[in-house]
Amino acid sequence: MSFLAYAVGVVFLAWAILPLFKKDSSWVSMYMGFEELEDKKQRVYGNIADLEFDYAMGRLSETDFTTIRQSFMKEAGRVIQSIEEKKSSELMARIQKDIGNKQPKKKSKKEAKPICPSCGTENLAEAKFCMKCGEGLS
Amino acid sequence: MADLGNILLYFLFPLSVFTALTSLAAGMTRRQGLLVAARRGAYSTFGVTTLSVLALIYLLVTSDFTIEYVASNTNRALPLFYKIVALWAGHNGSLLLWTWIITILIAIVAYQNRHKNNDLMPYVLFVISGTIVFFSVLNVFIANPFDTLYQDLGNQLQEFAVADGRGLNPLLQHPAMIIHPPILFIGYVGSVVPFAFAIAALITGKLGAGWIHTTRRWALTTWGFLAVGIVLGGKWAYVELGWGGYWAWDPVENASLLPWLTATAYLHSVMIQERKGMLKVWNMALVISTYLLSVFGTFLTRSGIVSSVHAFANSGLGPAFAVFLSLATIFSVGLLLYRRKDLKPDEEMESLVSRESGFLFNNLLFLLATIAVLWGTLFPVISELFTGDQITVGPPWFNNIMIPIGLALLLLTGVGPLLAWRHTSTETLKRSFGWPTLGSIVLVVILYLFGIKDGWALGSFAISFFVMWTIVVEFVKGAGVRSKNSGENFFKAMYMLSRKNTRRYGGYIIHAGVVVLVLGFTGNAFNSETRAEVDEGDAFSLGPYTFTAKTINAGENENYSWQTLDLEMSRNGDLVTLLNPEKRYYFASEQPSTEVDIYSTLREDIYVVLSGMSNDGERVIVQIYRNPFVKLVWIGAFILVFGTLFAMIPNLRENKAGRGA
Repeated sequence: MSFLAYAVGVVFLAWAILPLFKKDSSWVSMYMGFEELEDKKQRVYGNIADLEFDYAMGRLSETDFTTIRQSFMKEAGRVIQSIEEKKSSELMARIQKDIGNKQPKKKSKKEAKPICPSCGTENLAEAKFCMKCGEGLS
Repeated sequence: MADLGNILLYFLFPLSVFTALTSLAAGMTRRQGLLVAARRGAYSTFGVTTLSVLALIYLLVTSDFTIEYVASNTNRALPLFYKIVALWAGHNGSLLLWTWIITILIAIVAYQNRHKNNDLMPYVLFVISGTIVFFSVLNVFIANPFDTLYQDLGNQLQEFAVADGRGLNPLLQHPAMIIHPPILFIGYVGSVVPFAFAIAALITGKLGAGWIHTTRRWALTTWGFLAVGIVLGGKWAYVELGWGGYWAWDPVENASLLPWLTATAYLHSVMIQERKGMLKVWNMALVISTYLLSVFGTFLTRSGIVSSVHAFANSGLGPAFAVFLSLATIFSVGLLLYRRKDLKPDEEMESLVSRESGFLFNNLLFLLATIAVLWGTLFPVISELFTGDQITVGPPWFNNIMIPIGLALLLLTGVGPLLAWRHTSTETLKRSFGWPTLGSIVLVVILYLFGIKDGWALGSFAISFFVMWTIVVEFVKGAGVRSKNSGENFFKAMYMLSRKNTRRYGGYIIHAGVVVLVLGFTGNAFNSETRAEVDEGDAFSLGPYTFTAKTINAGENENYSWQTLDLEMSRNGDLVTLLNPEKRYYFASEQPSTEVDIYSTLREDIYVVLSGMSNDGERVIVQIYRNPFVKLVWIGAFILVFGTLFAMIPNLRENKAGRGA
């Protein structure tokens, strides 16, 4: 009986440990940076729904209802705008990244500006001698 | 079989440590493999604990009296059913049940979120498995239910078996006992899930509404279980303990009430966060407190620091609990302080007369109630610290504080939902509150004229009436508005309305349940009782009822000996019912037990206890309690459960264009 127990226990342990030895990848965070704005949008929408319900139930005067509703609508507009801006800037950043990755690395090497070993002046990429002190640039 | 259970229980410790470590590593490295391993670790803790529990049940059912737990909590003559239930009758077994429930929860949480919440999940698993590590240490090393009986032979210890066990505590041989502990435990333990998500949100800094949405149903479910567990505990005490009441502000009862109070506060205040982005720190604090109070409740029950009718005597777990509780407190409070700057409110409070301020008052009152109950419960310990004597504050102390707080909360139940968010004008206040207020005043006058003079009772009736009125109006008016807009008939409109916002209307149903509960509590103001020593043929009376002792019988079976009384209850000469209170003496546990008989109507309970024999041995002593409205407590609890279940149904979505509203 105790052998069986040990066997079952070990099987459970082995089964849990096994994934540690498999080829592995890391997951990408689901967090995109505009979740908070998304929360805010949901909140404003919820507020508008509640406001309409409260008004229908006679808990608000018409003037209160109109002014508050208007301010909620404006807020919703602002939030949606911020989300769009954030999304498009994320998109731009991604495009930039993709383009950047495709550019040949040689070019950047070529453009590296040699610094003079003697006086520390930054020279043009193609320069052979320092433009300030004339020291040779290797 | 004992070996099997014990060895598997030993495996729980490394498995839970493994789960905690891999999940923590997964959180820090974001490596998929680590998270998979942590998840499997979580499933495995559930696997080994389940097998271990099954092994213990097998030992209980087969009456293996080499096992101390089996010998202490069962005997051969015990019905099979109670042998199984004995799993949670004793200290070590119930601790195993506790551990088992938390492994069930971690398995469910791991499975539910296997494809989502990747950022939070490692830390969620870390927190829950961390708690399992603690309980596995208790269960394996300090309170192991598989411990065998040993006898000391001078130079060596030898295992031995007793011929028969000591039997199940007779007080626990009651149907409510079967479901009361598991349900209450689910309520207690369940608080770990919202807590784990809150901590994960604090660690990762992903403090948006995500963790709140994910844990909404969990919070509501565990709250419901806690509520039902508390009421069932009351039902058990009422039927089994034989002192005529269901709540005595006993430390163990209070221990279960404390997390319920903070959980209720959370369910309300979280709505302000959802609508206004306020009280973020406060909500975190409530979730953390609920978890800590749940652990504290277990600590209180099992450490023996306060004496109680059903606290386990000093079990040696006190120091371990104290250490765990301190670590958990330092860790979570520290984390909360560290993140407090990221938990700034998005909006400010605009008006004192608004829904959000209603919620705020509600929370202040719940906080006050929590502090009062905590203080009263710990007062014996605190007083011992300062005066050297344990001074216990009794039910009157609790009642004096809790009745006003309770009534104020009840009033808010009626007022809050009628206030609009942000601001409510005086005009609408008058319109909303005019009629119900007038109605309550009229009710008070009528009740007073009918002879009810108790101030608290009058207040309670008035407020209950007020709240019930507002709830009914909410449903009726809402259905009316919807019916006008959609053309649906009134009942269809009411159904659709509630199905479209189950949380709101489930909440109202819960509030209605609370009103009924409070009416039941109010009955206590009118309790009366009498005590009589009677022989066959004697009669006595209580209120309008006359009781006549018919026959006194005695006998025994293999489990216990018994004595019963046939008592005739009549009113104005008409027979109402025949009552059979019983007194038992259990052989195995050498304990007496009173089996009360209750004649229960909506109006009142007639509660009859056979207390024993008179000093001269000639007559029996009968104690009769007349308790108005007790049935409303159980009915209120049913309504509350229904409301909770209703609130968990997903909202019905419908095509807005089609509704034309």
